[in-house]
Amino acid sequence: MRSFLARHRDVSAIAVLVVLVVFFAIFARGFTNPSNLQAILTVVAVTACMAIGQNLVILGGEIDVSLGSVLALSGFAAGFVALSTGSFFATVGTAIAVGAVAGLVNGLLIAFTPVPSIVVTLGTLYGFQGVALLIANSRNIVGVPDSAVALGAGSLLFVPNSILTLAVLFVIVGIVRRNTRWGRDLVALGDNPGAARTMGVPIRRVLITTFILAGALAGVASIVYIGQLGGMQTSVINNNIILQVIAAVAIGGTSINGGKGTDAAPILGAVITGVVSSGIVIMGVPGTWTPLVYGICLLLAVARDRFTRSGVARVA
Amino acid sequence: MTGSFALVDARKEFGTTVAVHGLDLVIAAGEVHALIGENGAGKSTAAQMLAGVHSVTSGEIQVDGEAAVFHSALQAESEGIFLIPQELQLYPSLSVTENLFVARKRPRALFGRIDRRAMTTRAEAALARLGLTVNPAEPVEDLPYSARQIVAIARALMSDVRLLVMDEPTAALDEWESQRLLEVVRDLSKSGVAVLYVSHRMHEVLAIADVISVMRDGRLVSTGPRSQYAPDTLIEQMVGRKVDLVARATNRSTDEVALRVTGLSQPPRFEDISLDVKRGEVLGIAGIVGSGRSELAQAIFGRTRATKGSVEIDGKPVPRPTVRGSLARGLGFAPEERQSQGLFLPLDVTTNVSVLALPSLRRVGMLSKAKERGFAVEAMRRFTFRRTLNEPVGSLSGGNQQKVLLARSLASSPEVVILDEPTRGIDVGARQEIYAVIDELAARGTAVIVISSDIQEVLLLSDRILVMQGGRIAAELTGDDRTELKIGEAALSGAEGEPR
Amino acid sequence: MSRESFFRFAQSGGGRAVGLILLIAVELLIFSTLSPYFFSFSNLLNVTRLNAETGLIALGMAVVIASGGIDLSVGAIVAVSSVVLGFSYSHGVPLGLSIVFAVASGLLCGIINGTLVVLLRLHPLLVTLGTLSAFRGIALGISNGMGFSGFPDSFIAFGQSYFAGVPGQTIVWILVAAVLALIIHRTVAGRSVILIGTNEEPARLSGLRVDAVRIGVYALSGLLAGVSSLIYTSRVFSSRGDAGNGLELLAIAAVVVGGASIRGGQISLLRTVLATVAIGLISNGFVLGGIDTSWQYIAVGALMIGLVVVNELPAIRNALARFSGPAPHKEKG
Repeated sequence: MRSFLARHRDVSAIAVLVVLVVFFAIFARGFTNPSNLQAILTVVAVTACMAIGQNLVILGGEIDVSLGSVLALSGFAAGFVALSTGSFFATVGTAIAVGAVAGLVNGLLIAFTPVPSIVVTLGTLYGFQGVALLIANSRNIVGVPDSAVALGAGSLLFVPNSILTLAVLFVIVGIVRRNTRWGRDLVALGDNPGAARTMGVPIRRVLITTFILAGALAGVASIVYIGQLGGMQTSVINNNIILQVIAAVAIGGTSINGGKGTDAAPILGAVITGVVSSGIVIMGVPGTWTPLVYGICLLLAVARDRFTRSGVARVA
Repeated sequence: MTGSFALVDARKEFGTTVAVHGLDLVIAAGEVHALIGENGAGKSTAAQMLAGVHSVTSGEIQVDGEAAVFHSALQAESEGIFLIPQELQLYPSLSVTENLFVARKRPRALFGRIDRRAMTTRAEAALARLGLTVNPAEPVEDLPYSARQIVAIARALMSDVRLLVMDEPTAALDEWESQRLLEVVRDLSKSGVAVLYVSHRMHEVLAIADVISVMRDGRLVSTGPRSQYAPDTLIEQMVGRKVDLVARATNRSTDEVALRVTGLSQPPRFEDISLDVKRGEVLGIAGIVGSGRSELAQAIFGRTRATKGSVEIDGKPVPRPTVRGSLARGLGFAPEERQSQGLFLPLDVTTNVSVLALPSLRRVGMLSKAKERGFAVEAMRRFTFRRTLNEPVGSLSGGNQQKVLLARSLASSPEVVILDEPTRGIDVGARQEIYAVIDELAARGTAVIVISSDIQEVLLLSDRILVMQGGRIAAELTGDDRTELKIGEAALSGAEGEPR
Repeated sequence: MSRESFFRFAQSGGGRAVGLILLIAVELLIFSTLSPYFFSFSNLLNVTRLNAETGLIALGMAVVIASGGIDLSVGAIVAVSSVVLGFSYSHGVPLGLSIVFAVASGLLCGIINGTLVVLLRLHPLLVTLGTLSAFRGIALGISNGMGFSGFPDSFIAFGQSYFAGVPGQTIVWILVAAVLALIIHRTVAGRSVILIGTNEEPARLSGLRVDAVRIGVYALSGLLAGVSSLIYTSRVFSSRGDAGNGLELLAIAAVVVGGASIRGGQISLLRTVLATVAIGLISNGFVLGGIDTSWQYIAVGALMIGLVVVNELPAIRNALARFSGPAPHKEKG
């Protein structure tokens, strides 16, 4: 059983999700309304987009804590482009390009120096945050035309565009991850970096590609964000979201130590967090307490990993 | 010259140390070329230069008579040179199939999709050629070590391997598995693959090699066809002088039992182990890797918990052994893996030696640097140690590291010590010195348990020998029964497991 | 001094401390050209006054990182302590006892962190990420999202008092750093932190109380967050559930700029203090110099990566010496 769960990580995440949904379906009146379920997916779309990128980074045995700043940076750059041009392609292109360049900076620093990724991206977290503030120049972005940020605004056949965007990203990244040398070698790199180094995995190329992708995905997430909220506030420029992103990946079942995880983990994890947040609000827990419930859920969810490991009883 | 691989005057320096001085080595297609030497002779470095893991500092590598420059293992692999390092380079959570294709072109199906079925088929074919039948979807970490080794070789077979470099391939295999592997190597060589077989195990080398090269201190001592070599000439060439390891002369056992273990079990690692050691006695525990020796030692010491059985130290029962309790009762332990379990590599010798004695090195509640240093000097006095005490342990040689580890365990004058592989991978000089220290301990009335997979070592040191096999004690040998043959028989009794 | 020995000195602990002092001196020079107010002793003291809160937390973080862990929850602990203080006092608990409750709640949060890390045997990054959220929820929940600012005037003493012109919190900061330095370098517990952070298995086999030390370092971190919160709450004279947001990253930055490896086993409390001042000076200088505050983030990020790269130069040189081949060796985590 233990090794089964260890191998089929999605199963345990799905089980957690099912238990939660059943629980809230019973105890939170209105939780299962289609509109509520749709709202949950919409709310987690931004986090989930970013988590897809973070999941790749973590599968490769690294971590990117700068993605929150990348979101802000891309968002402000693209927001101003949207305001001045109103063009969909210019806006989305800007967001992706800015995110990718930020990811490239991370990737280069990580690939070519022995500095651990958590330190590099902590540094760039501040750096990108500063650049984002510089671009924002203490202005909030309001009144972005929906057409420019259609990835996150409006809906198609009753399905909100942000959910569609998320689904498309998930499918594309999943296919690419599973069907390219980069994607396959990435998991090997995270599983045994020493072997990857000596056995000819092009580590630098794999790492740089991964960080560029994570940055670009954060760029797309910024468009979804603007599309949902109609603008960017300078108050976005903090780092609360990155912690949720890492939490989503971990809850979804990807090991923080790299090499072990699934492509669906970020989506499952983000949805689980969304279900919890929505469920407890419906149950009447005041919003101010949600972080507490949320934190406890995170601990429980990641702790399940502990029960899928086996070993000798060690004593001190 | 086609189908040949050569190192020409190849030299490798790491910082200021020279690992290999101008080495000339030619390996021809279809031959098994054994490279033999003691630990630290430079044979692994030579193998790694050939396989592109290390660049040559000077000299060159030739493939088919033409100079080749390798900046990475990948480049060497593109010339058909594959290295199977001692520490297998596999990906534990990935499937066997996936492992075979890492950093490789994977077969494609429609729309550029990776063709998983073709991957599996090719993996199965490569494994079948080596006689390994496993489910290729299984994660490598679930396979026994011997099967992982075959997976590593299969990885080379997936491409066009022309030279297979194997570094100590049997180090973690039992006798039966080793024989299996040697057959695989023979078959490969018959099919035209050149094999460089790096080992320090004489009997294996003599059994498999067509050509033998002997290295010592980073230099080639001799090279020639197998027929030129006999065991004694090989030893002489490897060691450079007559082997001067001598058996302990006197049995100093008393009648007082210092440590008694009764019915200790921790299935499936070991089961129903009973033993005792007397003051002044050296008890050897032999057995192949995986026979449960180290696991037993860790349980007696209290690092892991046994499910059944009891431990008595000095006649007093120890209800639930813990590390702290064992240390307080005068039990010392030097673990098997000195780098990962024993030492704090980045920290200096003094800090490493003083760990167990810290509470006694205080002056008015504060650690006293002077006391600590004095303690370390005193503890290291037992050994010849020419480096300074403020050097990081990680910069010392294996022999010196082992001395630091033993100095720590012995400084508090324990009543009983368990030494797990006390001389693994260290040179003859340091080994002789450690043997002398063990004898000295026995002379002072300490009870000593030596665990070793080196049969010669167990024979040289022990007054009494327990042989473990499959988690149980297979034999107890005393007096004239202590022979290589009897140990070997007991260690391998019933070892014919299921061929994988 | 030859080039080789210069490099060796620059890599040594003392050399890095001198490097940080030089950095602070350069900052002082640059900023004093921007603002006449900058290069005054009173401004310097003000910098230490404003950074003592981060500084205290960075000291705890330094110890946690030295033990091989990390504590992302410190900012949230600041909020918990601050809210406990305001909540207790506003519900009739005497100020003195409220303060005890506040600091004790920080300690308790730390003990919870440590216990979870030990019991769950999960990566401390995940554990403290979870407790970050949980503690923040407790702080926001208790305060119901609102601040409290009805403290008596006497409460001002903790964040706004001066002794012979030196801010009280500066003195507390230096004292804590000194005491911690003594504990780390001269006690068995302190040595255990370093040994465990260097390599856990030998530490266990040497009979060190690994789990107790683990719990201890997080408890210390929580306690210092509580003290920091007390100073903060007194300085801004209000108790807030959103206090300390993002402090954890700033504290980690200070430890890393101080030259400690994120992988554990190393610590310098002096350099952690110097690094906190060096980072704090940047924001102070930018504000006084009238520069857009955006630049201060960029400067902090650049400083951090720059210094770490310099610290790792020998490793980089080794990697280059092995030509383009394999990427530099990195430990995970």
